[in-house]
Amino acid sequence: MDRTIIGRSITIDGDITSADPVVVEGRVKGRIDGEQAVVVQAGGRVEADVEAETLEVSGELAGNAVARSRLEITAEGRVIGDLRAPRIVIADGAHYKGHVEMDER
Amino acid sequence: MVKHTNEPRTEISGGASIHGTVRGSEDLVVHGRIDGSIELEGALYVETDGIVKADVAARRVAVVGILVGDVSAAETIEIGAQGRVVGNLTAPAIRVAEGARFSGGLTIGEEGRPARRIEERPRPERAERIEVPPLVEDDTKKKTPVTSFNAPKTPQEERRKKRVVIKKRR
Repeated sequence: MDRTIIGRSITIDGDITSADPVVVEGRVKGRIDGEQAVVVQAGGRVEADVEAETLEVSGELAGNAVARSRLEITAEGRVIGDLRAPRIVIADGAHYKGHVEMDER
Repeated sequence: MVKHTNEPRTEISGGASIHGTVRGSEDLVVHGRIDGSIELEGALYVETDGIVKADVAARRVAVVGILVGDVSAAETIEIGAQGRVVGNLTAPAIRVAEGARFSGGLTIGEEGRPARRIEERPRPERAERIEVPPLVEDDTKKKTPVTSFNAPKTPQEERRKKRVVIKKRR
């Protein structure tokens, strides 16, 4: 299946807009706008506002995140920023600082 | 299209676009779109559905999609048969396949050294300086002998003439 992969050595300074799933193993500074899943892998660092259908963070995220269906911070994940999603999972062991909003839409 | 190496690589899928700077040391495969600039220690592959509008510096660059921008590669630049490229290319080796479309400048050689050497030569200036002034000087030199046919001669010639005249009178 088509998906965008930002590899470990890659740094993107700017905006990513994607109709396909996005996997971030490297660094992104700017903004991520995804129509499907966005995954920040362990080792990945995102300094950006993120919007996606689902968002999964196992790396680091600094920025505000909006997921239209589901948002998850796994045990390895570290997030600083406000979260908004109808369903939110913050795993045992995850680091998180910010404001959470679960809306019904 | 192209054989990719097994190193970790980054892929921009057909539905994705990036606006900004992309930097890194691995290979980058573009099916989608990148606007901005790209600096890679690895290779850049612009696939048939890929559009890159950026200045590119990479180890190798292979294009079968569309690339608009100046490209410099440490090893090679290849434009495949379906590739379309607009921009200036600099690399030790450049291959443009039959059927490819390309417009722009090419610098093939070690880091663009040949092009710089040609630019430094002040050829036009030197040519003007040498050619133009002599043309005027030559004209005057050629004319003087003709107009001075009956003009006064050198003192030595005058004296010789006088001697001849004197001899005749005797």
